[in-house]
Amino acid sequence: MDFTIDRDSVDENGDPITVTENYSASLEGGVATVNHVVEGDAHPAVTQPWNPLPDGSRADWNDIEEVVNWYKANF
Amino acid sequence: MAEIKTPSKANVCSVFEDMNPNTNTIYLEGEAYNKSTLAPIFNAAMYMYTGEGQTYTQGSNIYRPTDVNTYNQRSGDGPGTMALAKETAFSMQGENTGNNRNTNVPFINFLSMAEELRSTGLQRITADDGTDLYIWQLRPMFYNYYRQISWTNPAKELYQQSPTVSWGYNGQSGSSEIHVPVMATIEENGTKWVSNITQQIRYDGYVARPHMGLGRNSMQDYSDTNDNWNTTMRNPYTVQYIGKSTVDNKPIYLYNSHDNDHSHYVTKHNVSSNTTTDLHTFTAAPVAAGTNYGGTRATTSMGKHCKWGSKVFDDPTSAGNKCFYVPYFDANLNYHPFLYQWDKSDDTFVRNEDITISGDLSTVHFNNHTGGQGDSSDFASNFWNETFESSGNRYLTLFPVHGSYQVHDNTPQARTFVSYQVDPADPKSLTHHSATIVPVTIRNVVMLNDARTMLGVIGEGAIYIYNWNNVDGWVLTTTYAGKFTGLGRDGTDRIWATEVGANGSYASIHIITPSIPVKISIVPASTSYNYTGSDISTSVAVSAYNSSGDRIAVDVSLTIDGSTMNFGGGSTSTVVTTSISADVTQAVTITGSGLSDIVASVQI
Repeated sequence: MDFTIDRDSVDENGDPITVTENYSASLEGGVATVNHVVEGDAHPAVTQPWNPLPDGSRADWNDIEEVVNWYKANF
Repeated sequence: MAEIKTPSKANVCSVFEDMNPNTNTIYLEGEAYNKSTLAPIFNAAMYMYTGEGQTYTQGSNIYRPTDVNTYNQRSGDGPGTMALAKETAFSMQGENTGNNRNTNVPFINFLSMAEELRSTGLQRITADDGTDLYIWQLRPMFYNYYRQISWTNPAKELYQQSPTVSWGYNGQSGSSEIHVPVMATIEENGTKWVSNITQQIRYDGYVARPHMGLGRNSMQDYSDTNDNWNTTMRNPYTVQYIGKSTVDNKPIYLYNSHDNDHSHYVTKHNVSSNTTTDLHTFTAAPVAAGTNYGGTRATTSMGKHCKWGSKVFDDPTSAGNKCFYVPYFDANLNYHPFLYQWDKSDDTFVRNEDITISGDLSTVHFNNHTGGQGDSSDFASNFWNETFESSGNRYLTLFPVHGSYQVHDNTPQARTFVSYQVDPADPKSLTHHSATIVPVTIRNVVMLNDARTMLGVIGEGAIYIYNWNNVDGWVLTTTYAGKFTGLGRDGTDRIWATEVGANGSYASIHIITPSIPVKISIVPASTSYNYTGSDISTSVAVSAYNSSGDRIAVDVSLTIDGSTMNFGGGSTSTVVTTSISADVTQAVTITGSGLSDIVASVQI
């Protein structure tokens, strides 16, 4: 599943800009993988066999949307 | 402390220790000296660049107290100032305040929580097959360029061969955000890939945003082209190395939020694939438990800080497992550190928040500390807690550190260490032990012995040496006046320091060893003498003390300056060997009226 993250940055003049980064995510055998996609090339970023919950506990992934939402919220 | 070298070169590393066990060489301003004797080695300068001749032009020894352009390297901006085998702390000794990059604290000395990995910009990493990598990461810590010089399997002295790789990234104004390596940690066994703590910064406004993560490089070619960054950088988070998994030999790190005191990630770096796996996420604020009030504190009187965890130690409640402390302040601003427990069998971590403190809570002694002022200064304000054992007891001390000029000189409650004794059976149970007010703003701190019972504090106008005792806590035993930019230990536990401002614009080099006295005491048997024409036989008590305040045995040369006294037989000079247990008595004869002085000196 492809997705994007918009990050705040500044340009060469120090003015605010938004940089859009491209990612792809997969969920196979309960293990989530997220790749950072740069100019069409996928660079592995995360291998996540569980969903790490905010209280320190772990849960199984429910679906790929949950993986994407987790990544967006935590990186 | 003895000043052993006044500066004679510009843009050099003041002290570089060759960590190779097959050599015995240390480099002062790039020139080789015998590490044991400090005897100079003729015509022997380090090779700093691959494929070039001897030179010395790497590093930073110039004093820049008000230059806010941190791309101008300076003494105290990081491991380009001193590269030693053991922990070394730096201070840029900037004279700026507010959201200014010159206020930041170079944080290299806080990065490793593991006993076996020193927090320093100079690392030796040895693979299972014997491949031996020495890596010096000497970037100025608040700009977007870096240098890294590496030697793989060095067979000669560093004044006899080029580095295997010598380069980095030049940085540029107007560039987009740049990844830079900060400190190499370990190789993932059998892969030849080395994990790195990294930082993401811009040249302009974001030089000190805690935006950190992980990367890797190759033991076989530690070049800039092999600097692979992982995208799992977190903003605004600092990163510390916790230790190496015994499950799969991979490094594990702690991400710690700058903006609140409770958001953490415990992350494993899969170095060979350069991916990460979050072992745990802790982003929920604690609830009240024990004496911990819990919650998310306000950041007014005590602002936003970088927070650095303690060394990992054996978990007293679970054989074979480990634990460590991480600073947290509850909504009442009281320090209630998290106790992490690490189950080594499966790399699971528990964060204990139900801490109970008996006796004074921290706000009784420490209730004010200026926070970071923005993206140019968010490494200025730091809390570090450290644990140690002394005579069978475990203790924990909270150290507040701030790089802004004189920011806490007038607020003693912001420059106070607070210490606790740890219950031997329950590390969640702490008892207030002592509070120690440091005379000035604490610009950086570093442990000066492996037991972590001797502490160096860099202030604006002096280094303060504290020693721990179980009755009084941290006791100031020695003060060395001067404006110091670096303080750390070499592999033989000698203490080195760099001082600026005393010899023009460049740093001089100092050394302390336990065998060098920092105080010599000469006390006459009587406070006054009444000379009536006959010689008076009397004595003086002579003793010498080291930087820990302990008596030491050393040859002290005494010379009488004056004509009214001698050491017997008319002699005006003698040598007294002091004792480690008591004063040594030296006979003195008063032969006339008037004043004479006794001048003491020692050979170093």
